[in-house]
Amino acid sequence: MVFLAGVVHATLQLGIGALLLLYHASLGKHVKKKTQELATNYILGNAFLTALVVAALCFVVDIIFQGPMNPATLTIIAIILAALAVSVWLFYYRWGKSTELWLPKSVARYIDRRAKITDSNTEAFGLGMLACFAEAPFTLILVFIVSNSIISLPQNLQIIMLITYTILSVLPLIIFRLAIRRGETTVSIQKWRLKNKTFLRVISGIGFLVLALFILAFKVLGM
Amino acid sequence: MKQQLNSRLNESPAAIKKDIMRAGKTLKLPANALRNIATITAEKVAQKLSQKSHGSTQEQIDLIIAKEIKPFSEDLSFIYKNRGKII
Repeated sequence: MVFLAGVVHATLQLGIGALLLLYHASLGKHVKKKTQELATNYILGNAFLTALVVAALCFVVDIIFQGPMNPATLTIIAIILAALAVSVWLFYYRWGKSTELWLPKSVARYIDRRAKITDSNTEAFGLGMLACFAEAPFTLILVFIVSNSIISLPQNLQIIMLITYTILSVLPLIIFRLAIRRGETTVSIQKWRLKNKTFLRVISGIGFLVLALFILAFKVLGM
Repeated sequence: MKQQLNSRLNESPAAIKKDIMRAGKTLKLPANALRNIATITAEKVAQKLSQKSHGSTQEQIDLIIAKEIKPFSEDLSFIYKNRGKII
């Protein structure tokens, strides 16, 4: 379940979009090495907040439920996942020939502005955390599921699974970074995103739905 | 929607040229070619903007640049057409 939740998290697009903005703004202003440092710090910021939230929710879930969640709570989570699947198919991307997301315009403009004026590693780290936080309406439920799975594991596996989920969630950012290093431009990557927008939307929604069915089948009904 | 007329600090050829040069750097275009493209496009765009009786929004300026720069560079045109539409 941790792997599946990580893959679903990876299909979401806000982190990639904000990194694209950062790259585009930075390449025009700074030397290549500086841009690479900013991108690395952005990814670290994103990963840091993800890991922090997972760890915190593990604690919260353990305190509230005295162990893994009960079937009633998991059923509610499955319903929320199904609702999110429909939301992703209908609302995640704005209509039109662009990769604009569901975010309120003011938030999108704020992230855009922050990406443009990011000059230091600390600011890039903060931008990574901001992008992670802004995606919370879709990722928080995934993090709940992961936390629930982690606390039912033996202690030596818990840290490994936390790190695994964090790496999976930022894997697209790492791939993006490697692609740019290999010679791709921000334009080619944006064109790819535009071309595959429908595919990404469908995969993301299916991911949420599969996760919901998985929880219902194996955790609630105990198949 | 609140429209920000003359939202750029400066619609002069110099400001537009600087912006195009910055955008072009991300595409690793040859410096001389980029300078020429930026100069020609900036002049055309500034001329079009000066002919307008009212001010232009940021989006309108970007679309004009996208149209004028398209014969020189599809990728630069793409950048300007998609400004503010990444997330």
